[in-house]
Amino acid sequence: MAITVRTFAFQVMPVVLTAVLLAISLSILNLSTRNPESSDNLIGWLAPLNIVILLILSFLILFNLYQAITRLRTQQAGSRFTLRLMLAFSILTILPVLIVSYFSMNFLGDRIDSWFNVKIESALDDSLELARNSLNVRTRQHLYDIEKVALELTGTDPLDYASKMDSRMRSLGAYEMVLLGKNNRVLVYSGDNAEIGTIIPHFPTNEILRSLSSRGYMNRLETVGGNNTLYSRVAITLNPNTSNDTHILTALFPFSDAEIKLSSNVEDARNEYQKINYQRDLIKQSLRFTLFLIMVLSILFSVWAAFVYSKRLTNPVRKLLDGTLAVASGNLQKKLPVSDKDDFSLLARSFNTMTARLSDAQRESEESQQQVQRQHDYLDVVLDHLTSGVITIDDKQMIRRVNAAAEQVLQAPLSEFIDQSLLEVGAAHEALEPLLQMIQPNLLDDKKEWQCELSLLLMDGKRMLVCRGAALPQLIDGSEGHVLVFEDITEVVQAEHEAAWSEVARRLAHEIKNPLTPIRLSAERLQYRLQPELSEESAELLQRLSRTIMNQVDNLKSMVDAFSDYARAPELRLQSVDLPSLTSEIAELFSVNDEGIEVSVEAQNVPNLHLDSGRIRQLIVNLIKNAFEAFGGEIEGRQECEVSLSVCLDESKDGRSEVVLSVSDTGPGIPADILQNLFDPYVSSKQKGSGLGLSIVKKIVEEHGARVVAANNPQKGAKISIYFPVEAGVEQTNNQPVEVKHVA
Amino acid sequence: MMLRRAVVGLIAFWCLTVWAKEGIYFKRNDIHSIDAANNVYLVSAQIDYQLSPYLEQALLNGIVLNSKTRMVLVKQNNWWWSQVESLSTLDYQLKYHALSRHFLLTRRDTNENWNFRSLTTALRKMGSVVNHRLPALSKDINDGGYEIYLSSDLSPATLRLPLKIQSIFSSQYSMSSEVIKWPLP
Repeated sequence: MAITVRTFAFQVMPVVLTAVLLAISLSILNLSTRNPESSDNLIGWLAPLNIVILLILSFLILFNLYQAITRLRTQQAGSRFTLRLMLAFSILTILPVLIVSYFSMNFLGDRIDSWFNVKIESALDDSLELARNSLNVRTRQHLYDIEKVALELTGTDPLDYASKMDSRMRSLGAYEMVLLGKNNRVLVYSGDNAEIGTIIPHFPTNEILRSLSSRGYMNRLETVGGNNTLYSRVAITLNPNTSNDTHILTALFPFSDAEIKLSSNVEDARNEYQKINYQRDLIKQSLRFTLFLIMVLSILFSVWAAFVYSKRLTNPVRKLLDGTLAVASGNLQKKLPVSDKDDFSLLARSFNTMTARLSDAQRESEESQQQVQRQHDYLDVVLDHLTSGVITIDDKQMIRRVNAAAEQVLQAPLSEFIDQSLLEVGAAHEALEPLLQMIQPNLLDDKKEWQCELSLLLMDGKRMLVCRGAALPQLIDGSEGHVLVFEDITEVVQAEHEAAWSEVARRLAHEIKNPLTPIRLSAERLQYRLQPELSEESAELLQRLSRTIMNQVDNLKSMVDAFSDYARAPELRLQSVDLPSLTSEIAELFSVNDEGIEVSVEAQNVPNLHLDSGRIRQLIVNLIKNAFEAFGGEIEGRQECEVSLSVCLDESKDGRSEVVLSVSDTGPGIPADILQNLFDPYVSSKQKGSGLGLSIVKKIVEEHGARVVAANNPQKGAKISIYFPVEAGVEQTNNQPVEVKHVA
Repeated sequence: MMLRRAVVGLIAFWCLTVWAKEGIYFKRNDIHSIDAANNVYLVSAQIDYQLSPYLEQALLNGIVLNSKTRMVLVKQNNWWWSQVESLSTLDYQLKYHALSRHFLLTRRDTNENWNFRSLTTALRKMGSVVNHRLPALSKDINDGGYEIYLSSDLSPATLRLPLKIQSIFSSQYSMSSEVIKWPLP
C-alpha cells in the first residue's frame, strides 16, 4: 500500500525526525560524558537540542492523548479500548525505567564516591610535600652557592663584577644572575632569556626585598615561561668593600630534568585528583542530570511509541467496531480492509462476507418492496383514472381505500373517512344514507357478488347510481373485506329518456300531421257545399261544427309542429352573437302585450358568443312565453306582473367565465313536485301550452354546450338561468357531457 | 594606642570580609584622549575581583581561571541591534602552582607572567589596567552616537563535566562585571 502524503507528514516524519534528533542527542551526551573537554562545541548544542526533542515528544504525546480523549468523549468505536491500551503500555514502560533510573542514580553516586578515599588524597599531598622538600634542598644548595659568589664579589673590583658573575653563573649552571644596586637598579645582568623561553621575566623585586629585609636571604621555587617550568630563585644581600651601599645578588637556577619531571608528575596527579575530588558533587549532579535527561527522553519516547503502537494495535478492532456500528445503522456497503499480515484478517473477511450477504438480502427485499410499490402505484393510477367510484372496506366495514371517482360520483369527501366506518359516512352525509341502507344487507349477507340500482338526491340533483359489490380475497392477516364500485348512469338514463321522447314526437308528428290537412279540407268542403242547401238553423250548426273541427285541427297541427320542433335536430349555424342586443330585441316584441305584463331587460357588456342566433331567439321566446304563461288567469287580480331578463358575466365554480341569461317572473313559482322534472316533455303546471317549451329550451341549451338551472326566487316567482361558456367555445364544449341541473 | 589601632583594624577587616560581596567591581575607571586628531584613547581602571567561595576553592584545587577584560566600540541604534566593534581585550589566566605555593598569572595576549605568593596580590595585578592604549578610532565617531564599553568576566577554564548545563543555570561558576560606558567624543 502506498504511503500517502498525509501519512508521511503526520506519522512517518515525526517518528524519523524524533528518532534522528534523539540519536544525535544521545551521541553528544555519550561524547560529552566520555570526553567533556574536547566536545565543548557540541555540548553547547546539547541543551537546545534536548529542549527541542522534549517539546516535540511532549507535543506528540499530548496530541495523541487529546485525540484519544476526544474519541472517548465522542464515543467513537474502540476509543476506550485504545486509551486503556495506551495507559497500560505507558505504565509498563515507565515503571521499569523509573526503577532502573532510581537505582542507577544511587549506584552512580556510590561509585563516584568510591573513586575518592582519604589515603590516596593524603598520599598525594605527602608526595607533593616530599617533592617540594626535595626541591627546597636544591634551592638551599643554590643559596649556598650564591653566598659564595657574594663573598667573592665583596672583595672584587666593581668593574670586574660582570665577568666574575658571568663566569660564576656558567660554573654554577644558573640561567641568570643579577646584581641590584641602590634603588633596585640593575648593576649587572648576566644571563640569556633565550635559554628560558619567550616569556619575559619579571623580577619579584618587592618580595625579594621583603624576604631580604627580614632574613637577609631569599630562596623559593618560581615558575617561568609558557611551559610553567620550575626554577629556583635565590637572593642574598652583600656589602662590597668598595662601597657603602648594600647590593642584592639574585640568581635563577634550573632543576635537573629528572627533578622537574618527577615533581611535575606529582603535582599534576595531585591537581587532577583535587580537581575531581573538589567537583565530585558537581560530577554526580551532572551525571545524574544526564541520566535523568536520558530517562525522561526514553520515557517520553517510549510513551509516545506506546501510544502509536496502541493505536496501530487497536486499529483493526476499531475498524471492526466501526463496521458493526455502520451495519447497525443500516450501512451494509461497509467493507473492512483485509491484510494478510494481520490476525484480524479472518474476522474482517467474515465481516465482509456477512455484510455482502446482508446487502444482497436487503437489495432483494428492497426490490420486492419496490415491486409491491410499483403494483400499488399502478393500482392507484388505474383506480384514480376510473370513471367508476371504487371503495374498499374491511370485514368491520371500515373504509380502507377510496378513489377520486368515488368522491365525484357520491359528491362527498370520502378520503376523510379512511379508517372510519361506513356508518360514519352516512351520519355525516344524509344524502348517502339510502345508499348505505341498500348495501348494508348485501354486506351482512356476505354475498360474493351483488348489484343494485338506486336514485340519490345529491347536491347536483337527482343521480341514478349502479352499485356493485364483491367480496375481497382473504389477506395474510386473515382479514377480509369488500369492494364497492359505483357508476353514475344518470346521463345514460336521461339520454335514453330523451331519445324515447324524440322518437315518440317524431312518430306522432308523422302519423298525426298527415291526416290533419284532409280533415280540415273536408270540413271546409262540407261547409262550402252544404251551407247553401241547409236551413239557416242547420247552416249555422254546420258552420259552428266545421269551425270547431278546423280549430281542433289547427290545435293539433300546432301540437304536431311543437313535437316536430322537439324531435328535429337541425345543424347549428354558429356565428358571433351579441346576446344582450338579441335579448333586448326580443323583449321589445313582448313589451306591448294584452296581459299588461311589464317586460324589463338588464344587460351588461359581455363578450360576443358563438351561437346559432335563430335557435337562441327561439330559446328566449320560449322562456318569455313560459314566463307569461306562468301568470295564467290570475293576471287581472294581480297588482304587479313583471318579467325580467338579464344578461351578465359570471364565473363558474372552476373559475371559467360564463355569460348568464336569466328570465325571472313574479308569478306563483314552480311547484316543488315538478321542479326536478321541469325540463321533461309534458311536465308543466300550466293549463295552457304544449308542455314542450322548456324541453325545447333544454335541447337548445344542450346543443350549445351550456347548462340551464331553474329555481324559485326567494320571495316570489321563478327564475331560469342559462350559463353559456365564454372561453371554451361551443365547438369544444360540445364534446363534454351536458349538465342540466334542477335546483329546488 | 597600638591596641586601639589593632581593634579598629580588626573591625575594618571584619566589615570588609562581611560586606565584600562576590563579583567583579570597578573601583575606578577613566578614559582620556592623548591624540584627539587620530582619536587615540588611554584607558585606566582598577577592577576588584571578589571570588566566590566556589571559584576560590576551585583555583586552589588546580582549576585555571580565565579573565577577559573587553573594550568595545558600540554604535547605538534605536531600531536595530547596536553595531559592536572589538577594540582590545586583556586576556589573563590565573592558576595555583601547588608545588611552589604560588599563584601564577599569565597575560596570554602578551605572554607576560607573574608569580604571587598571595591571591589578593595576583587578583589586584590582574585587575589593574594602567593607561592601556586603545587603537586609533575611526573618524566616524565624531558624528556622535558612539560609546566605548568596558566589561570584565571571570570563569573556570574547563569544567570536567559531561554537561555544561549547570553553568547556564547557576551563577557560582562564572562572574561578570557591570558595563562601564564612555560616550564619545
